[in-house]
Amino acid sequence: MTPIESFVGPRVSEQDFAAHRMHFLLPTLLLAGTAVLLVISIFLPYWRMELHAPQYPDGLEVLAYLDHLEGDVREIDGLNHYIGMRPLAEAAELERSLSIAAVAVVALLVAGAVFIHTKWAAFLALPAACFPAFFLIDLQYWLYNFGTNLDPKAPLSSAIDPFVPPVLGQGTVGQFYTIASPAVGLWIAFASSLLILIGLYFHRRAYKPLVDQGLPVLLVLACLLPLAALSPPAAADDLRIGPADGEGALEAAIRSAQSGDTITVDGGVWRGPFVLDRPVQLVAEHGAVLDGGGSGTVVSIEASDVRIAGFIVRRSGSSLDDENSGIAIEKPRARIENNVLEDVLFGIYLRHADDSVLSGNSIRGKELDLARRGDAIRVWYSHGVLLEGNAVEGSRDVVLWYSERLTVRGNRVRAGRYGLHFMYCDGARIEDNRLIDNSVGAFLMYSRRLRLIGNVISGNHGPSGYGVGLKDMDDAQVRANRFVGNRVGIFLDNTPREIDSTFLAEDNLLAGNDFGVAMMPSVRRARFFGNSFVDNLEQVSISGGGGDSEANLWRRNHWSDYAGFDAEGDGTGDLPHHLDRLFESLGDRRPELRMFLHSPATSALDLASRAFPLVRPQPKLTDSLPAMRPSVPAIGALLGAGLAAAGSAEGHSGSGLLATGAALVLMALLLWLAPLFRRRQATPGTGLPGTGSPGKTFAPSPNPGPRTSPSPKGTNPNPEQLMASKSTTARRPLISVRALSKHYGKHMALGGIDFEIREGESVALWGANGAGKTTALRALLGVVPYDGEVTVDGADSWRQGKVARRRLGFVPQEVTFQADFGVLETLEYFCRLRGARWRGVGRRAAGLDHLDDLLASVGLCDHKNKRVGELSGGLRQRLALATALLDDPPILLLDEPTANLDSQARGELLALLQTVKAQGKTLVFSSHRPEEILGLAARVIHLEAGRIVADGEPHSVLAARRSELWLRPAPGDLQPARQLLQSSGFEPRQLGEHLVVTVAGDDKVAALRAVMSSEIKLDDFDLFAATSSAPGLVSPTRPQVTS
Amino acid sequence: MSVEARILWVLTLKELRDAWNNRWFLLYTGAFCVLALGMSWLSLAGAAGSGFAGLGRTAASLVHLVVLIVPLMGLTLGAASLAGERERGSLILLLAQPVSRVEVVLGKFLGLAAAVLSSLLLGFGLALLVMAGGGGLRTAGAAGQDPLAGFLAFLGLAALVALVSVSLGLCISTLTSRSAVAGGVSLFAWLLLVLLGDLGLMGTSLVMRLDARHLLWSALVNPLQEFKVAAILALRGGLEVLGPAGLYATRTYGEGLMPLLVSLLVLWILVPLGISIWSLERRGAQ
Repeated sequence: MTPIESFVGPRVSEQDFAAHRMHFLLPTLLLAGTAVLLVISIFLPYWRMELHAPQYPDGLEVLAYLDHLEGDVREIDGLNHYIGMRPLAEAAELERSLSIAAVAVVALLVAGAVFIHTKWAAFLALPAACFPAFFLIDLQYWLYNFGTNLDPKAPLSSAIDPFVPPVLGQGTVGQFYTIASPAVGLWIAFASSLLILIGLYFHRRAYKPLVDQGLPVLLVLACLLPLAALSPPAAADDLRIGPADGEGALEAAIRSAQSGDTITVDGGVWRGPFVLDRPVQLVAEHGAVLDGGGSGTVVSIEASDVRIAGFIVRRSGSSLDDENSGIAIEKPRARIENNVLEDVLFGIYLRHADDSVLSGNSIRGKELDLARRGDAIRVWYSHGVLLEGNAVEGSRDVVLWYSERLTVRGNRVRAGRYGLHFMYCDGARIEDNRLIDNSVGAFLMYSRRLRLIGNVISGNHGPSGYGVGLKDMDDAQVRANRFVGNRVGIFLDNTPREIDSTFLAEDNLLAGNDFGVAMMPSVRRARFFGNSFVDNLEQVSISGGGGDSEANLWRRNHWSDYAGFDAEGDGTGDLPHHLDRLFESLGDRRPELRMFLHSPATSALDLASRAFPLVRPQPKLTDSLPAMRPSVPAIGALLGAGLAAAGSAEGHSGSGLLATGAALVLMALLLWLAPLFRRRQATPGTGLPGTGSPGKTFAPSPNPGPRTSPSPKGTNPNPEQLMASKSTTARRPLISVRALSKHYGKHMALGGIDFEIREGESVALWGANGAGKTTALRALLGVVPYDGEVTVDGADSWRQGKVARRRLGFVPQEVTFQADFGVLETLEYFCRLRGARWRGVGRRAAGLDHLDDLLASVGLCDHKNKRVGELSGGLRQRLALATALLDDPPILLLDEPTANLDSQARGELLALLQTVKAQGKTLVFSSHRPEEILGLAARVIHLEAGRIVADGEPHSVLAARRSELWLRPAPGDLQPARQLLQSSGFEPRQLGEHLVVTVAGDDKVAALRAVMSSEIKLDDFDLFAATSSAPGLVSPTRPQVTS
Repeated sequence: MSVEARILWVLTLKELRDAWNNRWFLLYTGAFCVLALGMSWLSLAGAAGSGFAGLGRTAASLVHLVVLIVPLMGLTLGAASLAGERERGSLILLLAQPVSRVEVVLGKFLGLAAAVLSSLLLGFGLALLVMAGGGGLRTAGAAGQDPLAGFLAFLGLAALVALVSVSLGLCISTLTSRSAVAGGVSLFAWLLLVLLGDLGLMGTSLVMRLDARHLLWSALVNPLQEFKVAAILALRGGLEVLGPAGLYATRTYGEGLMPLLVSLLVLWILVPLGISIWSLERRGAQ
């Protein structure tokens, strides 16, 4: 056999071919067809790459033919220029120049294999079978070459690290993500490879019997390789370690683990960091802890299909620059389940970790300032990730960027900055989450087709304080969520963004937010259907004011401030709802005016705008079909459990509320009852006359007599001693008045008077009305300011008034006790006010006894259960006397005590005062009644126009007074009488039919006698006090006479 | 001048008793309680439909109530007290007792304050009971802080407003001689604090374009604004709702804002009270 014969193999006989036509024809057809397909593929694109980025919403595409590139090559080259990548045309120049010829040669070789019936046919077909693989390998080389050889001088070279996009599948380049896929030509080439394998199989079956050798080894290998790839992996092992295995046991287990192994960690604290670089499962039992020791990342996952479950992962580093994390994942399909992450800067950090699952984890960040915290969860360029049932508290944000097809379900994010922060995440679903007490509930940006459904978003109150904020979002839907107690329920900024997209908010509850919905005035095509706006401070706010009320559609929403009606009872208001409050409108335009929120002035403004339509603003919106009743979105089962748990805590607060409310009411009632309590205590139980009173005839003890100190306590000499002592001249001055003057404006009430009153003296201040008696008494009391010096028992009555007044009891001219007070109550009040220093035991009992004595002494026993308003003037004056004597002061000041009393009452009071005087008290009283003065006073100070005109014994002072004698002679005797009086030394004045003569106090009768002793007939006469404010003996009404 | 607690106590009780015999005061108290009850009940009833009732929301409406009623109560009661006694002549009788003028002013202040505070406690206590009975907090929205603590802080601030208004009323009372004049002045002061001041400042702000700092401090001259700002801070933990001026306040003063506001309110209590004491020390019973 020649070499050629041995190469081409045996020929098939015609009989055999006829008998087994398909048996020999099939490999021929398959291999020939393959050659044809390979030739056809020359004209078709082999490979496609799409680049997606936010600024290229439709993406960029490049198509690779065997010899050239098509598509957005220019744009891509333009972008590549910025990062320093060479133009695509420079890639694989040699390959492209040879490719057509090479494929043609390969196709010819396959076609040639048809004629070779030995194993060499496989060698001829092998280049064609391997061609697609070669193509991809070469392409990957060039991708690597271009991605890793960037020009460092390019403008954005520092913004991007070297990269290698995958030749097939998804990859990322900066903010782009790439999708590379085989194009038609390559599929044909692959199909050709397959056909070659099938063809060779049939070729071998047809010709093997004809040759001695079997199939070439390479072909067997080629057939086996794909099968090997499909074969099941080796059975995984289960490794188990515990604290007893030593410190490095976990690292060792990880190092020794094979793909698919499960490492079960039974308790213990394991110091990291840990790197999982192979697809293993780490499962914790009994609270195994992975401890980062406060530096770096605790667990780094650098292989796909890793699972970590049930660990406590704690103490990462604190470097924001290095993004220290609890768990950092950089490969796809990780499953992080039911772990507790605490004291970690970043919680779980996913980079390029597609299709990963984070479920049931609890994450609590480090106790740092908000700005220095990391993110609880960060999902970065990771598509198809599921976040389910995680609980996050006290972290910064939950960030989800550049990732598609995310599902965020049943998570609870609390007390962070951004509950959720989305950017460039198309097609995400956010369901049944609870976002509470964050600065912002969820902020969603630059994404499409996002669905926010059934979440509870409440208490988000940062400076932005959005329940959910949407910026540049297209075709987003916000449905059946509860927005409660946020600063802003829903915030819209340039959403929807594209002209053909929309935004829908439907069936949400917006309650108790500062702003139910806030939007920029440029927002258009947003639709709000069936939402319930309940008691938001401002239901809808349009920032900056203005906007077009028709730009967005509002229908079937419930407005808690809707003022219309539903006559038809169909649940829809019959009047449209307009939002047109003036203060809101002002606040939208000038936000600083919100400072006046809750001020009644704002309500006044709104009232004014309703009253005067001229100042009523344009409505922000009109809901033509307002719903009468609010609707509350149902809560998902997952969320309901969380709310129920929270509800129990709030219920506890409710019982606290009840207790606090009751305590407040009780305190109010106690305050209310406090005066009654005191009064009841003061009501005497056995204080009736004769029932236990000590039988004193006068309540206070007998006057303590001469004292050497202001103290009211002291020994009490008997009345005889007192009377004896009164006659002595050695008694010390108790009241001293020096240069006392007092002006009321320009009117001088007192013009510098001086006097002293000694202990036990009874002094009357005598003078006409306006003479200064009352002012002098008030100065003694220290209740009005004055010039000069007034001391009471050594104490300045103004500056040390309290000390001075302890020595004084005061009875005013007009008693001004509270009419609704009882007699005892009044005494009790003044008693306590004066300090109630009683002698004896048991203050209360002694005090009450004393009160009874006092009442008996002033004759009020029968009236003690009356109210002050029921007492006559005389009884009131007695009560006033009783109050003045309550703590037994040594000095009693009385201001015209009988001025308002009838004669009987006056007599009784004077008798009472006589008794007081007999007790040895120092009495100072003002009066213009001589009988009082003569009966009571041992000394008279005569005041006239604010000055002392006389000071001495009553009889002599009274005797020195001047009077006017008014004579009315018979009509014909007027002039004779005048002449007679003139001749007798008088100076009569004629006032009408009267002659008025001023007479001396000690010889008032002389003028009268002179007239009476003559022939002159006198019809009448009267005697008055002299007109120059001199005191008069009697005080009849002076006749009104015009002279 | 020495001040004896015993005398203050006696005067306080007397004033308290007088207040409860004052039909105007009873009217105010009744109105306050009815309104507080009504507001909490309406808040619950309104929230029953939505399933969310919050103490915070009710308290926010109570801010209005406090701003309107409490100053009216305190100012008119305070204004009527000393001027009325002076006019009736009973002030002389009181000052003729061994009490100092400082004690008289302080005693009256304490008594009136106790009276107004008892109204506040009653009104808010009843409101709380209604809310507790209505299960208000069991479904309350998360407020980020203990709502009850916030409410109690609010109550404390309302008490400060009561003291401010009583102090102002007493000051008016000591500076005037006739109760009719004192009543008129106190009503004008109420109008000024509640309405005219804010309206004037709003107008000024619109015309002069006051920046946040000046607007804040202009507003905070008014004790009712101090109360309002502090109450919002207590109930909500922040002032974002008050716009730029609120943000300026929280960012500039931070944690010190509440003490600052409380200090201002205390100043509003002490200064008029000081003037009252000074005036009575100077005038006595005349």
